[in-house]
Amino acid sequence: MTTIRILLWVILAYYIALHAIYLLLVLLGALQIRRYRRAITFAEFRQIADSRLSMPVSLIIPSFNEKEIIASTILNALNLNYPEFEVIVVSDGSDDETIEVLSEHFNLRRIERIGRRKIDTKEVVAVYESEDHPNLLVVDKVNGRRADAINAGVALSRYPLLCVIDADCLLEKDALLHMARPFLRDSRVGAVAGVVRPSNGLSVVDGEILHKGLPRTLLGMNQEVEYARSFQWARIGLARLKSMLCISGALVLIRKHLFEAVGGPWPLAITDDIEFTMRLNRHLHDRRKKDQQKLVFAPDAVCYTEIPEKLSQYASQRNRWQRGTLQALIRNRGMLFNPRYGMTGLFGMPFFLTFEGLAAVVELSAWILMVVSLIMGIATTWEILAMIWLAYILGVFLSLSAVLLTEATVLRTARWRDFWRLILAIFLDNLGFHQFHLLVRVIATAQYILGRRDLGKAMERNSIEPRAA
Amino acid sequence: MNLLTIVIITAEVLTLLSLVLLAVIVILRLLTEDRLRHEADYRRSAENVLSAFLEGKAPLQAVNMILQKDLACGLKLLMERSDALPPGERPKLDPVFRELHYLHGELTGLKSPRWQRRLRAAERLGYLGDDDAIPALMTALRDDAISIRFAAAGSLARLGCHDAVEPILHALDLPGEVSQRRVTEVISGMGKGALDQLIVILESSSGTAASLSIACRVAGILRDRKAIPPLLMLIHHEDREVRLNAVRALASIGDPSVTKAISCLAEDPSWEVRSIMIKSLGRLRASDHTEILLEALSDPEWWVRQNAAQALLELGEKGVGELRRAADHHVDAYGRDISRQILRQHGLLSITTGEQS
Repeated sequence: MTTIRILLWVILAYYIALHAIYLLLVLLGALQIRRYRRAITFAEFRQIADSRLSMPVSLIIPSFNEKEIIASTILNALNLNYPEFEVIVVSDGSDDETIEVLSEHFNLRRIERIGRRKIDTKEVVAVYESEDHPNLLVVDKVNGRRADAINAGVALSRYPLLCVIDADCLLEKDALLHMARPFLRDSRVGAVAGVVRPSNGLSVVDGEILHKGLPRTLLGMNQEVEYARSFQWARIGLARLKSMLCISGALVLIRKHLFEAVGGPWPLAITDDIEFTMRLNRHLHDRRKKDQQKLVFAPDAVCYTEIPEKLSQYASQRNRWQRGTLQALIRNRGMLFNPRYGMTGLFGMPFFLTFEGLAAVVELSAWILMVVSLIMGIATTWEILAMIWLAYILGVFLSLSAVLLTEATVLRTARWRDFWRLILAIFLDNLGFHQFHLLVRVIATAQYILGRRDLGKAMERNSIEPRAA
Repeated sequence: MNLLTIVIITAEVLTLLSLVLLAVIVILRLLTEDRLRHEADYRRSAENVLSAFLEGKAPLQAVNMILQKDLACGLKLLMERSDALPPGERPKLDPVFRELHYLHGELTGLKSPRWQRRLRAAERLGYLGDDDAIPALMTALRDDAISIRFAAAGSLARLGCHDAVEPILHALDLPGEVSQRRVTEVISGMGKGALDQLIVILESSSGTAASLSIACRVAGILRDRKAIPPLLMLIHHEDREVRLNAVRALASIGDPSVTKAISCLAEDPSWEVRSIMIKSLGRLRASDHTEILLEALSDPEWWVRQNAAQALLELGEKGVGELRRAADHHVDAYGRDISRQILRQHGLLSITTGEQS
């Protein structure tokens, strides 16, 4: 009986520690942003935009059966404000007429382009260039997953900086300028990650973002809060602590030689972005290496990605993320508690394992223990309710802190109606959605242990292009 | 105190804090909206008066009166407007800056112990268009913070202070490609007025490799034939970067008379130099040097071979003819291969059948 009681308190302590660390990360993120903003000069981004000497970028868009949205994504990419860049779209064995759709939109013609292949990929069937847009290249290759498509795109790229975005991503017009800035200021910067926010609710015409709204469903709003809390503010804090072990695949700018030195994303990974980021950290923070480079976060480089607004799609996506996280952690376990990797090994990896990889299992144990202790009379109903209340309010407080900080940025919600919907989502998050998410992650953990390694069901896309402003 | 009490008290405190936080967010939101509204109104009215002033339809006093309502916002607006104007028209704003007495504040800011303040001041002084800022900016070139040195250099360039070329090169003699690019950009912003100082630096050949490389780059951007003699001297410099940038600059200036001189770099130990030299021959349409280009088709380095094939294409009909012959008859297999690749890439050879079209 005493053991169960002690376990209950241990789990409560875990909860408090989790939220306290996240709160500290959010606060650290806020301090970082303040420092970042104060170091930006008035004409800095204009100078990068006007410069003939800015480092050119190869923007790589891997795509598999994305004919509904790919044209809009490419138009958005082609309209970016950056002096010199090329867009390489890699159709990874799409069987949905992606190439035909692209040919029609961008007037493609087949060419011969042989790149310097440093990483093996599946066979490239054909390369096309656009007669209308000289900086657009389309690659048609045999299917080999997202990572393989990225590697094929890199082999054909010409420029020293690589930016990888997903096929459903829309970038803010100045995103590349913001991401290129750290490279110009510090030669030790090897990679820059940006902010990822949900695109549901944006009004887009011809790839141009005209209005920023919020998702329509409560599930979408819930993820909006989650993205602000975990993927934006906490990540800036983690970057400061050299512990940003998950750069979303939706937005990263990296030096080509570093990308190739790390070996590119692993084609067999369930979530290649998480696995690649961990390997990148391993490469960057290994104290034995003399040429140490940095991984930094650009808080004003924003990319919008489509989030699932149906429960089945949400479950499928989170299932994949959970299995991918576990796979990446296991594959890079050599970094865990390893002083050779400094802060990354001693804080980042243990944090990621304890509060990301195993969070679902710990939380499920908490629920089971609460029920058991209630049935066995070890804890009173009041005690259980008090614990649930504390867990709930910790989550609310953390999310409100993230909203407070977001309000001071350009990413704030413009309309009062959206603002109150966001606040409502915060208060409702722990009343069902969070528990559903927990269940999905527990099932995913079990499936991973039982050997499931597939990528799950592809997300259904909402066509972006025709949406009116 | 038992643990239940601790949990309840913690939860109560957090609930209260959450409500306070929510109230703070709402207040912050209201304040932000108010500020944004004020800024929008201010901008709208100030921009109209400023436009009228620049067109000569409004007096200076009218601009001053409106800008004085919010000096910080006014300065930002003036700087934006200054950037939007062609360089020749920027001095029109000088009296506005002067009347609003920004200079004294920014000169004081340049001495601030806070580096962020010094950084802002170093940048703003360039916009004020007042030569009185030059001595302070020259001193700021020795600041510990590199970003401040860059901002000061940018401001000196904006003020057209040509005497600052050498001090800037000295202050920003930093390793790394990116730093060199940034310095190049700053100095080239001065325009052709910087050329005389640059030629002195190029001719002396005594600077560091980094400063000579930057001087070569700027000369290439300014594209003035006066820079050709010292650049030709530097193509034999012992440092690879200097040779590379000297050849690049000569190609950029575009005088075909230099082709013979640069073609002697065909045996350069650095493949980067060979590659740029080959590329330059194409750019300069050096049709007398097809032999060198054909030989480069079998260079051990892929980039040199690729640039040689591209350069032949750029020579026009004669070059294309040579490339076609090389695709079938070049003595080296790599040479034949790259020739075919480039011909295919440009639609001069069928991808599927390999037949020449």
